[in-house]
Amino acid sequence: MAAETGTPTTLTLKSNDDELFSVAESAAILSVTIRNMVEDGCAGGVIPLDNVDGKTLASVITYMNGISAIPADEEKKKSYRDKFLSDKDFETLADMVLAANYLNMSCLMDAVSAKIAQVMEKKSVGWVRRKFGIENDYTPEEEAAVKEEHKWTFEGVETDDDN
Amino acid sequence: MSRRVRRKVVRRGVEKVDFVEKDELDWTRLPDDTMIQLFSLLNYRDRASLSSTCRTWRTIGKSPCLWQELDLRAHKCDPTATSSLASRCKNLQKLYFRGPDSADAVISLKAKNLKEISGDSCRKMTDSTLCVLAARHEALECLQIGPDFCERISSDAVRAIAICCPKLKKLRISGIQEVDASAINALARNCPNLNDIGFIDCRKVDEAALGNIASLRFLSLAGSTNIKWSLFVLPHLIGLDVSRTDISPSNVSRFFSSSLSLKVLCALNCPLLEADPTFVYNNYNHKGKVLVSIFGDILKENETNIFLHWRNSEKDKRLDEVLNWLEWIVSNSLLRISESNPPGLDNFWLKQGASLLLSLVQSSNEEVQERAATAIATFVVTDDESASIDPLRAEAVMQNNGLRLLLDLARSWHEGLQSEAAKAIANLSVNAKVAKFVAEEGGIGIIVNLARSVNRLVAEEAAGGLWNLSVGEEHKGAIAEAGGVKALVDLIYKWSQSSCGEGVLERAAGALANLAADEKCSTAVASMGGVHALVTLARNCKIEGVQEQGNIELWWQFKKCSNDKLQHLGLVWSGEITHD
Repeated sequence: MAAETGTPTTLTLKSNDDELFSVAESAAILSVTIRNMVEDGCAGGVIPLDNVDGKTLASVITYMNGISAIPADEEKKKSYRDKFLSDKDFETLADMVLAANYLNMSCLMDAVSAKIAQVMEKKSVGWVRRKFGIENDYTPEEEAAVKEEHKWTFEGVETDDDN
Repeated sequence: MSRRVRRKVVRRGVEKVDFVEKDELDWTRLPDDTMIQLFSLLNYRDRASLSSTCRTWRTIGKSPCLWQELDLRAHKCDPTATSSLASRCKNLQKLYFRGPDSADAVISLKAKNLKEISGDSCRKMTDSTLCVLAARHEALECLQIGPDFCERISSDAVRAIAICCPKLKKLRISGIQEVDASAINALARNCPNLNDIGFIDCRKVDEAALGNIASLRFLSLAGSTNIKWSLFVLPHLIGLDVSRTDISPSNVSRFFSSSLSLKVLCALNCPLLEADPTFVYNNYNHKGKVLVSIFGDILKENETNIFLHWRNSEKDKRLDEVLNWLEWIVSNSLLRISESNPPGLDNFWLKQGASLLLSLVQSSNEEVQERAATAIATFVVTDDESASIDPLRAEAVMQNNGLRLLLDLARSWHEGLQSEAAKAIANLSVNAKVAKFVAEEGGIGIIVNLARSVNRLVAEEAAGGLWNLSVGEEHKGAIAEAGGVKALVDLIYKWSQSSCGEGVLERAAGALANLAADEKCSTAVASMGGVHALVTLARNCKIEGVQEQGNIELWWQFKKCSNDKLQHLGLVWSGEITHD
């Protein structure tokens, strides 16, 4: 662990597209993955993050710095998170959720998941397939079974495919 | 994964593509646990839509961790529906349902490992339904039926529950005819872990026999009648709730002095206690014991509400248990008191009740939050007939930051909370001051969003909110701007085919009628197909109240309105009405 006094320790993170980022250890250890590395003493050199690209990592580091600058006040942290995510598009959110998962950052993970879930709300099957680039791999029999399985949730309401 | 046919995806990072096309993001990169987390944030319909897209997501949608808890309250729950759910409910722990027909259907879930069942709107539930429910769920630890009065339930069902469910820890039932000694003794004999009983609003309870259930730690007899108040001594009793009963001051004193373990006695709205001016003074001297009553200011400690104080302080398991129980019984009693609206409590509501309810709105227990929101929706209405709001009570809710809390609640993903919060906001919005505040805080957008809900209960309350908000001239424009007109029109199309859409339709038609009276909005109403929707409604609707709302009021609105197009349509419509 870093010494109690003196200048704050800085870590160097490397994205999978070879960009290097400097970040204060105190902020970086929001990621349990990085914290474990620090605790195991293997954070001395460059920390390679093979599953995160530079654009996403830059964003995650902005978040790390922003949230760790806020003292223990859940209310303020929440509003920071809301603001941080407010201008992110769907694709960025998807990258963030993967990065948060890989870096094991539960607070970011929860916030991004909630945001993605909001996008998914009230959407029809057709919309989800289009948006997520999924093609129907059900046989007609399966399709009928799936429909039967979920009939109870719709109470006779048809979802609007154009949504 | 090869089972799934996907669009070709450009992998980022490897091939250094700067930006991926919108549709070409590969969602299969998401690990299963991330997908499960996403699922868990969505309601059942949205989960169903995701599961219906492909095989992989269907499998994820069936993950046992998504099927620990099932809330069927907003859903039509018949044996066909529940049978189709059975394969997913093998490890179901907790279940909510609404209505006795649903209780019958619940059996087909075959969820033998259920630990908690909570049912409401069970007025017509019979002994036999409840007996079967108990017999099929032998692992039950918690059974709650209420808050509606279950007048057809008798001691027989309680006895059957005792025999069938030996693991029972918590039993709360409302409005039973009678709980006799033999039923209570059966509980004492068969359920060694039973520590929480609520016989709430029961006609008759043989309270002396309760002394035999030595394991009891929490007991509520709130609202029950024909109790003789013979002293029962329970060695482990921590909390006793005698709210809304005829308990006398001397009986309260007796409970306090005879029970060493007793920590909290809750006595909200007990006429005999409230009639005795010396009562509070006489009962302040029980060391380490707390009396919760309407006239005391006990829930406030050092200016902060005890519930808020507890939530912000460090966790203490024993305190948690007591306060969780207290939250539940206080929210229950406040709801009942708000419904009966007994005279003489104005001061209580203004000084304590409002802030108490708002602190309960922030509970971590959704049931408590929901009930507190319903109670807020209820206690501000002083006259059901004219639907008028007590301005002072509305003010008390406003003063305690209540609207922001309710708007937050309306934004939660939990549909039960959405509908009750919307109901409270709707009722409060009758008051012009509140309506202004709701508009300023972005509440109109929130309510419009709820009106788009596919959940009938949520949509109904939200449409009610828009109806109330559209009464004055001030907010019509904002409602139209937030997309309210389209949401209302959609609601009418969606529910005019259904047999249970009466409430939604009446409110949506009422709101549209109000909006149509505004010159600017009337154009929006017309262009969104609102007129057609209402004409269809007026023509096809089988429900009288709705038809009236849609028909006559609107016809008049159109007739007198200045928009030519609408006026024309109004005339066409009147022609159609006469033709029919």
